[in-house]
Amino acid sequence: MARDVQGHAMSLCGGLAILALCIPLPGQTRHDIQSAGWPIDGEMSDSTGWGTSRWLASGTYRLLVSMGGSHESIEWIALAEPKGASGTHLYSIIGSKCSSEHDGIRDCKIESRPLRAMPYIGGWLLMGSNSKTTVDDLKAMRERVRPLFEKLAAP
Amino acid sequence: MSQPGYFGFVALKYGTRPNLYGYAFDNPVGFFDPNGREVFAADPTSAALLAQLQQNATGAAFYNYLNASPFIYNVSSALLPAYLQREDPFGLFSPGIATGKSACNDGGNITLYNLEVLASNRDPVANLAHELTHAGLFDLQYLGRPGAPDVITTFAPDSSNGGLPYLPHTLMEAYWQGMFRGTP
Repeated sequence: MARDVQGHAMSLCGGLAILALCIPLPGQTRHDIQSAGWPIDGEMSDSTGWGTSRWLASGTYRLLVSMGGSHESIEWIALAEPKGASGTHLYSIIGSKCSSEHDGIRDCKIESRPLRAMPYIGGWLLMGSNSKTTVDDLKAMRERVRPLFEKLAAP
Repeated sequence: MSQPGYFGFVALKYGTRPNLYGYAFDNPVGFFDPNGREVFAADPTSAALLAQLQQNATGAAFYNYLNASPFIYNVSSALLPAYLQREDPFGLFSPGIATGKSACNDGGNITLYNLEVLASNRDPVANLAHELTHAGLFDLQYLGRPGAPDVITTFAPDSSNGGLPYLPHTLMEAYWQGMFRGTP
């Protein structure tokens, strides 16, 4: 059984399952998620980290997935459903697996992983507790891009 | 070679001043921009993508802003060269003043690797917009023209010569993916 950097056992998915989609979670290594079939392409990396962004689909359900972190592992993942989407799987997951919001952050436990969640780019951003990219960094970036993504989400 | 910490472009010679009259071969009196466009499509595929970009209101506004620049930007399609396969497999913005080929190309070259884009089920128009954003960031830094689109002003504080660190770069990509609803 493969294990990630935090010692969690990994199945074929090893992350967050939404319909037929397998979404990686913070803490998983890039190598492991690639081995599990997640296409690591279109990567944008530099000396400070890496990221990737793409749409996934399962039937009519669609999900925008952006993630980034160190060169070894995922530190954060941002998930957003299209505006007006009939399915609201993200809110159901956050509601059932995360605490109430405190200072803009929710504590979550997803697939046995302690994570933090905050609203981001019209959806949710999940981050690990050992992220080099700090909550403050992510919050600052969120505030900057918020108007851009709010316009994007406008009908 | 990319500048560490930023990507989406090739290395730029610092201290080089952009040549506002590059399109006129340093002679703005005797020559003129041949067709008044500052965003050139070098091949039919690029022309088609630029046309599709302009069918979107935000894309059209973005195109018009860049097209009004004194800089010239050449957009072309190409096969992904092996030496870039670990850099940016979908596209590349190369600032013109970095290449030393200033005539007709003070803005830069935008190269689109559409085969890789399509092979990974991404939207080539979103990919074009992504690379044009690097050009727009570069354009704003050197020219400071007013009326820059929101995506440019949002990420300009993070940008150097059109490049972006990975976090804003990833979000910029997500923005255009969201705009054009790239088909998985």
